[in-house]
Amino acid sequence: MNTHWNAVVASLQHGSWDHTLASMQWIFMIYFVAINLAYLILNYISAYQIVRYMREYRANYLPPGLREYQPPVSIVLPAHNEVKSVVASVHSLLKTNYPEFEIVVVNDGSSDRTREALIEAFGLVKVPEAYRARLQTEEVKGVYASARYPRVRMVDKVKGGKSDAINAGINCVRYPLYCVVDADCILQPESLSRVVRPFLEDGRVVASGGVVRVLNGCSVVNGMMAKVGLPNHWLPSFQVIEYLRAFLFGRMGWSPMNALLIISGAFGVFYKERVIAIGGYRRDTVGEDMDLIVRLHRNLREEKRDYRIVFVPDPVCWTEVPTDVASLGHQRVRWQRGLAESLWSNIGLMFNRRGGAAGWVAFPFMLVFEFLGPIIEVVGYVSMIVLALAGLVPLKIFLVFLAAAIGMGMLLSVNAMMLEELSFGLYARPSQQLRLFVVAVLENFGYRQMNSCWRFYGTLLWLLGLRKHHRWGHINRDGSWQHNPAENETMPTDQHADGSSHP
Amino acid sequence: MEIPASGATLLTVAYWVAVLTLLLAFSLLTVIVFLRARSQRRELRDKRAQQHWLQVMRHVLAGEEVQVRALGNDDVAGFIEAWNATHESLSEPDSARLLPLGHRVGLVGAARRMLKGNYHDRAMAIMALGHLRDHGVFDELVPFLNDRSPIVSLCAAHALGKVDPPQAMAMFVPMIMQREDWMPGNVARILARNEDGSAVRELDNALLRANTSTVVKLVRFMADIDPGHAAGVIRQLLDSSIDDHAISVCLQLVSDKQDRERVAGFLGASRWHVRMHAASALGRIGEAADAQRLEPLLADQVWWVRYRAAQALLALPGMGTAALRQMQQRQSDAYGRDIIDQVLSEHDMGVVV
Repeated sequence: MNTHWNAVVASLQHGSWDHTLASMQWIFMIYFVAINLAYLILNYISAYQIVRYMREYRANYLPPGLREYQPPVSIVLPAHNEVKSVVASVHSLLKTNYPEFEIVVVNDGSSDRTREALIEAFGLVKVPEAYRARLQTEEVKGVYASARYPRVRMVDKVKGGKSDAINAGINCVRYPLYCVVDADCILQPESLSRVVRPFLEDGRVVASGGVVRVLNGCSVVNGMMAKVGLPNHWLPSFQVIEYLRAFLFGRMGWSPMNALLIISGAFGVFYKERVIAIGGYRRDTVGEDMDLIVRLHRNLREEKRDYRIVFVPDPVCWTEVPTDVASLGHQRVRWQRGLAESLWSNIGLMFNRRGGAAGWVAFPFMLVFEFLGPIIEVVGYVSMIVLALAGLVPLKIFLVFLAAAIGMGMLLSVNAMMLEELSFGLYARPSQQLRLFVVAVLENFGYRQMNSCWRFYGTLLWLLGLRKHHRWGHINRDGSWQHNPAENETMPTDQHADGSSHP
Repeated sequence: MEIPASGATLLTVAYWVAVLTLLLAFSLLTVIVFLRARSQRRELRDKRAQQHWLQVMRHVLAGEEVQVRALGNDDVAGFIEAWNATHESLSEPDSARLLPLGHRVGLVGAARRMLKGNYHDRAMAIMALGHLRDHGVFDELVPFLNDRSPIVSLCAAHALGKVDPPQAMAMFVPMIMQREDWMPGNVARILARNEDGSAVRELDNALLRANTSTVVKLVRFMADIDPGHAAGVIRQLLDSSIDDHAISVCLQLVSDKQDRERVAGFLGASRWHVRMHAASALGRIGEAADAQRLEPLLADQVWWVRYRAAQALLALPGMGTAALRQMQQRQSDAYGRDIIDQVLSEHDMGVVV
């Protein structure tokens, strides 16, 4: 082995590598500057938008408007093997202060007692509902309703995956707007009002999303967010910073250009008819949330419609993130495959004559920086390590490049913290800000690289066509945010099952 | 190992990127911590002032004599928060009992200064002056009605409506047709708070000048604040040849039994949403005899029309579960039978959709 390595090192040292090495370094440097510059630009667009938004909505200057003017919304809650959390989730949704809504839980062929738990908790009985299969789904075995909870219904169906479950829910909902919520998410009483507001303000809006935040470290009482905090462990703490970056400028920056390509599957509001018109959610992708938005853009642009897909910076949904490396890895591999599938199957949007900012800016950005990014990053890491081991990269150069990478990473993270401070300032204590800063520094030493490797692996899986047909993601969660003895009976600490694809 | 010339340039670039980004990151962190600390200090100060003034207002409302000082800089934000919140929770006569307090602490002067401040201060000050109902500030508030921000302009409409309702409504109502950015719920709340009838009068005038798209908006507001008056307008609109969307809205608002025949005329409309709303309307105002008119809709090709028709049939006077079951036996169409099953089961369970 040693002889082999020595031979490789010798050949590297005696070849004309100087120029090749310099060229490679330039490529990585240009890519590195381009990606960070692009993120910084997005960051400043977001900052402008957030300041404007907060100026208008920070305080309740006006007495609340007449609530009857808010359109009714159907909440679709797809569930597969969620016996431990689904009842508490529905109770949490029932506490929303939105004036008129219904909840349609879709039991997607659960093999545990999800269906029975719902029937028992809400007194559901099978009703002869004239179900309209406007979107093709796996067989619907029955629709259940409750006399005690008239807002709650359940669709019981054969397992078909998350997309199939949402499609069945859409077939069943009654209102023109529907909201998809993951069964393990915690909302705030005003979440729905906040995300529905763009529909009231602008008749062109077809979809609206909000910020998803990390639940780990927070306290939830009676199904509602009681106290915002930071997680005690490193892995979820890194994800807090990641979510801030992803939502506060990764999404918010695209919204004013009408180029938002993703609304999180964990929480989003859509015009039902518009979604049905494009055939609902695709069942053969793990990135159904991104795919839906990209197809909406494509379809509406082809039809030359004036439309808006918008994003509000309000923290509307809180989700528990993975606390162990294996779950996190599975999640990221899955997200990357979802991204690849969504981009590839809608490649026609890119540089399309009618593509607008979505086709000419956001799509190429996603392709170059999000899809190809992990490949370039991993190749960069590997070549740097190999060359350093071969003695071809002096320690000084290695350290300078490392410092530049860390500096850029930190700057982006601190910018996201600044946006959080300008908007909702949820991490209220200066000590929390300092802790977030420490996390923003430390994530550059291992976490980011690990993430790039997972995403690289996800891209490889997609490229090689090695698709696993698990249609529901499974993630171990610790559930330590629950602070209600009564609810702990229904929501114990080992929750799992996660369907949303992206943060 | 020697570094080539291009490599040296690259190293310099990387070096400066590292230095600048690290410097910027640390500077931003300092700004964040400073902003956080300042905001916490302000929040604490305003909270204290707010609690103090809420206490004072409670004493005033209880009829006690309270010694107060003029508002200082540290007091203004807290006082105005407390002032606005208290007025919102009070009835009109109780709210009037607080007015002398506002004058004694010099609210007009303090709020005027805030009108020149930032966005938040401006909106809060406009609301506070509205609650004070001082005619002297009316002209100062009028320009804010045209503010580009929907929040500031609606705050101004709200405030003006408190100071001088007739004059305010004369300005506000015509603007409803132009301001697409005004949330209907907030407009409705401002109109609903008008008690001297000027809102209805102005809406009536505006309706005469409205086009097809704006008429729908205005009729909705009218139906909220004066259903009787709105019924006449709705009748006229249903008799005129307006578009399907406007007809649908009018059908949703119909509540007068004398419009039965008029509504029944839309059961055969070509657009399904008109048929659906006509069926629902007939369910609200219809009589037993209307069952014959609704029955054919049970076989309509659109689910929503069948569903609303079945619900309307069940709601008709004299038409109970048994009668609807009998009607179900007569249906040759399977969809018609299914929809009756669904509606009856929902009815049994008390589900209202």
